[in-house]
Amino acid sequence: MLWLYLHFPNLQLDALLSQAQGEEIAPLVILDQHSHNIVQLSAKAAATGITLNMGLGTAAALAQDLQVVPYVPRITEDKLHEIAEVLYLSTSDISFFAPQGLLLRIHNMLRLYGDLSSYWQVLKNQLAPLKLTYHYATGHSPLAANILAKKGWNTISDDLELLRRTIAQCQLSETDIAPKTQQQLMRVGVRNVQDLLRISFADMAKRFDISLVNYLGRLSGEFKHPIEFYHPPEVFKRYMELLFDVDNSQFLQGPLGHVLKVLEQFLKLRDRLTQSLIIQFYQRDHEHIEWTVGSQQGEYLASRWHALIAIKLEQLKLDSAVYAISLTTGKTQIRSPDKGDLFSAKKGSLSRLQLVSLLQAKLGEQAVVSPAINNDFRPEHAASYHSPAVAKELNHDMSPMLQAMRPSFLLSPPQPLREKVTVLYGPERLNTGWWDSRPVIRDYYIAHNEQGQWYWVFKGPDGDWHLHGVFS
Amino acid sequence: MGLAAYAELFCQSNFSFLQGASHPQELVQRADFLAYQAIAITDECSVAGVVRAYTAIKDQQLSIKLIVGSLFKLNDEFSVILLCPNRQAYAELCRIITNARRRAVKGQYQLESWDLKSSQHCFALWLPSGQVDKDHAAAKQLQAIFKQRLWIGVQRQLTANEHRYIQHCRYLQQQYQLPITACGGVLMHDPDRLMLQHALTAIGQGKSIASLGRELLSNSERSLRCLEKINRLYPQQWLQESVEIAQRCTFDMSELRYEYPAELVPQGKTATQYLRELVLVGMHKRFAADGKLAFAIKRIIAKELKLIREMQYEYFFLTIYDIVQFAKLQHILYQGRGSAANSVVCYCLEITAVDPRQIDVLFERFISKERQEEPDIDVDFEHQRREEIIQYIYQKYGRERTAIAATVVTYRQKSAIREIGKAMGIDESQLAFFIKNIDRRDVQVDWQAQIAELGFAAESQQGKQFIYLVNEIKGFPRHLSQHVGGFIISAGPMYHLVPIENAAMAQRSIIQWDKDDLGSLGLLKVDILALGMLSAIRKAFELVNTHYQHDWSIAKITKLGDDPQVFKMIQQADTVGVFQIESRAQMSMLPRLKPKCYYDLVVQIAIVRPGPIQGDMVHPYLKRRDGVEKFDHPSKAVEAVLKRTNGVPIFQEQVIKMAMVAAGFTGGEADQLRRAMASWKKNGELLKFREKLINGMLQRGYEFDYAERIFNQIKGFGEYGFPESHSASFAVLAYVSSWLKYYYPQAFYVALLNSWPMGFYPPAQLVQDAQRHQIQILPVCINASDYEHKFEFHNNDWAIRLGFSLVKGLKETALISLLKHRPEQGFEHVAQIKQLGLARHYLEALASANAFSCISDNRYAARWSLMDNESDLPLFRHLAEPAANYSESLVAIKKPSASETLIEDYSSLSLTLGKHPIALLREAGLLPKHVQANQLYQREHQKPLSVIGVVVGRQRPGTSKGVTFISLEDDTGCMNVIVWLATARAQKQAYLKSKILKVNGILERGDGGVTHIIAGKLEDLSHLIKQLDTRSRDFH
Repeated sequence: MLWLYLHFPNLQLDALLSQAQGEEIAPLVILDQHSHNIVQLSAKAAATGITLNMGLGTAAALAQDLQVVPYVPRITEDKLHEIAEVLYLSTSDISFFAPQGLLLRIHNMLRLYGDLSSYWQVLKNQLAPLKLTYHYATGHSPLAANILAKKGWNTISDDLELLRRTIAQCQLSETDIAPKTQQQLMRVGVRNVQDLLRISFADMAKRFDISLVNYLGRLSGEFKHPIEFYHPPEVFKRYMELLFDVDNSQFLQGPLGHVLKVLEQFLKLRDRLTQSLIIQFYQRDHEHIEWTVGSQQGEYLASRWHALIAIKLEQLKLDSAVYAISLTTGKTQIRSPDKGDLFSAKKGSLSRLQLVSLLQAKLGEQAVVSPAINNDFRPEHAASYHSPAVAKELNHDMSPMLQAMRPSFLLSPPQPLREKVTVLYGPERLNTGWWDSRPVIRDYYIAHNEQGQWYWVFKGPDGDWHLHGVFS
Repeated sequence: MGLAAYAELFCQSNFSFLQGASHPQELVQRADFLAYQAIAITDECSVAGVVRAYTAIKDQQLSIKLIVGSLFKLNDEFSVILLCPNRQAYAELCRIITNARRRAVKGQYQLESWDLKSSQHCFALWLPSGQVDKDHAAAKQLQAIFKQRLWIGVQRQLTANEHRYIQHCRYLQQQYQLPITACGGVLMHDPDRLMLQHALTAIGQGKSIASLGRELLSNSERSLRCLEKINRLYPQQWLQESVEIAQRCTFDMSELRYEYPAELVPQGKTATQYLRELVLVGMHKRFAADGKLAFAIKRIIAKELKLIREMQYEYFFLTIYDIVQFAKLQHILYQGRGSAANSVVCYCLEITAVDPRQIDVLFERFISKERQEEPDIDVDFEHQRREEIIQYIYQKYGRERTAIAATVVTYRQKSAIREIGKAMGIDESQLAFFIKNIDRRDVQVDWQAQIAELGFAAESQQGKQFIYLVNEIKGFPRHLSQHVGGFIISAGPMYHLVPIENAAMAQRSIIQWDKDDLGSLGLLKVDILALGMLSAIRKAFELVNTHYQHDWSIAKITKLGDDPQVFKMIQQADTVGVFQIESRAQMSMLPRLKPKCYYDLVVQIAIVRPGPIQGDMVHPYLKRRDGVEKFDHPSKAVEAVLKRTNGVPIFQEQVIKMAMVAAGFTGGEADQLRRAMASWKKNGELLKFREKLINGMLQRGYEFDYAERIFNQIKGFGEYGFPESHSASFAVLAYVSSWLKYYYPQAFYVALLNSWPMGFYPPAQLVQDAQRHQIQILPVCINASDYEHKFEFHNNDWAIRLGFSLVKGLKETALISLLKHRPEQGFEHVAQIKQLGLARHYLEALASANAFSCISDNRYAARWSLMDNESDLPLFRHLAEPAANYSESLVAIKKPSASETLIEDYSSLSLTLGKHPIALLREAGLLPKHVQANQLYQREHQKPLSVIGVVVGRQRPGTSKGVTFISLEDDTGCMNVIVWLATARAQKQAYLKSKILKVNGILERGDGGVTHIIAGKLEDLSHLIKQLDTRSRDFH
């Protein structure tokens, strides 16, 4: 049995830097948000003296212009799936063994490729275009390969004696033994795997729980180690974090094109077409935007999809900057059944939702909106249009206590008041909105004009009167 | 027609936490400026802010009337304000607040309708909710309770549909025949505070400001508005009603009188008589030996007693007397300090142990009538036994009559940035990043500039708002917390005087006022504080008594007078472990100040503080004392104040006295100055006194330069100014601990180690210091040690045997059975100890600490054999060394190497008695050329050198502009390294991370032979420890 382990210590960082095309502006670190410790760091960050597991405070003290990105496990997970997909072309037995690495069973592949070194050459060529940092090692057991790769042994060998010798020299801290157990072992002078294996399993079992004995048995290859292997997915799914926040939708073309290329590869390999793509734009301060782009006849070429998307991108209105995008093939997406003409349908036979989806299918999602009440004093911001689903939620949230009496017709923008009115109620004074640079300072009155129309008028800070609305 | 008068009856200060956006002082000032008739401070279920309002009115002689009240919410639809027309109503309000607070967890309250039903005196302002059904029910209920004491309070805040609400209120008025009064619902003294009020609301709700929308105030009308506007908004009658209510409220905070517990005085005697009796008894005890002085003493006592009687402070002294009597009975060491503590009366009452004549310079500053200060006596108790005192107080007076003063926790830099940032929707990890990286001590670059450096867009609109709000919220109260030891005890239930609420600690309650508030009202608190050094001194006395049969006490030692040998030791800065003068900064000053007598110590303790250093007082003081610099006092009056400190104001009392004699401050003003000094960094109030002080001094013929210099010194004092009366008591302990260190070093170290944690140095440093004084230290041993450290006779002298308490992860209770079953001749093998049934992890901890070294030469093997749970089985019990395979498995366990021994020692004991790491490294040939600590004295001033040591401390006093003191330790002693900010910045890695550090620098020898190394290059050598093994193996 021979195993190969690939350890990718910097997947999230690599994913970010691959977009920067080699240019790294500032020292960059990936931070675990719970412990506030550095979990990945760029070369520039390392040059300032920052090390792994350092606290954010110390790190920041070492590098003034430090760029900090929170660690998102999902990115690493997705990236590993991507790599597995690529490697699957050359290796049949791949396992997601640990969060940051892939385990490959290779002794059964060797016959196919001749010998170990030519197999490894193939693998290396597959990995090269991905531009990832990785460590590798072979091992006589999955755990041995895992430990050696993680310590950066970077050696491919089928010399079992050498493998055993190397593993014996590994420090306890390089293994996955629970830190508490490691501590206990250190306190009796056990420093490395060799010290550990010198003790009989029976003696070990008297002092430690069974998981340590299991681990050692699997490491030495004496116990069987059940491994679950990877099956390539049916659906294409990519999530990509952008290096910079993008607020101009046109700049999204680049990253999208990149993902579409990968999609093309995916579809080509499976000899498939997809009829729709679901694209999600993750916005910094707002809900993400989700699009479905369809192609009636089905498509796999990146260029075709790109052309379709480019048209839609022009209409994309971002509420705030986009920090990530994701792309999924929508094979399971149900297309609206062929209902014929909208107006020929029987009246009243559609539910609200059905109507909404039908309208969206015909007119495009953007074309169907629904008014919603916003929680804001400013009349200009008190209502807005949203997609029907969001609007329903917003209206639902509003406490009735907070709803003030407002006219049904609002003039937008408010017009100077040109006629004589008699003030009946007021003022209602608004002084709000300082936080988003659209402040409003006004005194509102309810008044009626000589014709008896009920007006909603206000006086601004400069003393000018405006007509803002008419009560029905 | 003139404007109708108005009284604001509904006004919340920032003591309605996260609602009110103005300090109580600001509110009363503004209301006075706007010519309101009166203002009620009606915080929500609280009177925490009223004293500040009261004090502001008194200090600034404002003409506005203050009304005490409180807002209560029974639920969302039922709000009512209770106002206090008289003292009974005030007691009632305090009781209602107390009940509502005590029902809920800390910081919250729960009002029940029963609370309102119990009201017989308070006026009620009902604030209708606008919901018709609910309001009718409420009106009926309230009318039944309050009858003629009920009003409808109508606010006009220019909100939507206000006219409907007013109609509704008018309808209620008619329906129930209730009068309406105008009120403002004030949350801000100025409309400009609206932004801050929004931010506070957001903090309170835990959401961002932008997301709150209509839950925020829609405008700034909830501020104090001018009378013109008030007159436009409300009908005359409503305004008149407010004034009438205000006129009927005659309660004034000055009516509050503290009533001391009556049981302190035996029946049939007055407090004055009883105090006199006690003092006379004490006098005979204290001064019996020197009969000839009796007359002088009697005269002083008579004078002091007269003053106490005039100020009616008898009960205060009796209360403290009672507490220290209890401590004395329980053999708990204590010492009083503070201005009043240095009186003969306190000496006679055994509150202090030092004859005040020995510190005669302090004699004049007993309680000062003119300064209008409350008498100040803090009592320090042994830190490990203070709880006994607290329990005694609770038990004697009951929880109803005893409470702890509050401390108002206010927004500081960090909390302000964090919470304002969150309210403004700034990412939390970014905020955490700012907070971690803002250097509060960087005096050159303020925080705004620092966060801009850290990448914050300070110039953007949001950035400016953020900075503005952070600066505004600083100093705002956040919540009430527990004062360290300020107790107040009353005759009747405390809640007649002040509301009580739950503290965070179970079974503790706090009042709603802090120590300044108590001071403003003239209420006395008793400070029960904890002091580690007292525990150590008491233990040292006991050890000396046991092992040398010498009976010492603080009083006996101080009676001997100043001992030149002891002062010689102090002058050499051999003061590790000694009280107060052991810190880096203190130690570096000792050889310069060269204290020769007790009073020099008093100065030394007060002078090495951030304040006086900032105010540049140390250098003039030294020069003048050594006669290098000539000086004249500008006047007789100043001479009287500053003579004993060579014309340099060093103590807080001197500053206050200076302001009085040189600038004509009245007693009350001087007391305000004292408070402003204490908090000037927080609110800058001190600057208000500048003009008054300088003008006052100019008028009295002082030169402008001199006056300005004095003011700058006062400013420099800042919050660090140290009162002489406290310094004097601390100096006693500093001297006594030095004396013990000199004459009974073993007892001194054992007592310190047994009282740890306390003081400045960890056990490792104390043990090293003891070793440097040629005291033998014996290791922790399963057969010889007790839980505590102890004396052991070894090689013809007393040695220190380290105790099990040093072993990490061990509990005293765990050792009881071990110590009980330890055979006379000791344990012989590990198995014997295993059979005692101690928890395995305790035994392992002992093994790793090498406590089994007397029966097993390898601590790894000892631990390994203890870990085996099979031999715990009864079957194997009879075997002394169980199971045959036992020794087999031991073969696999190696012996610890040199570095492993070191690591094991440090990880289980935090110290090593073996070779010092630096010595090991040197012997292994791993260290570059360097100078050892004990050779520094041979080196020339201003010459470059290298030193290497373990970093044992990094200290950055707030005093020095960006200087860090690093203490390095090698096997021969300690070295002081000074790192300038620029050096530290340039070499952050080595500066921040090193455990073993090499410093290339310049040796600097100061006036008194103080040696420092001014760091140039820092090099981290921590990695060398790992190389120890490989090297030492090479040697074999």
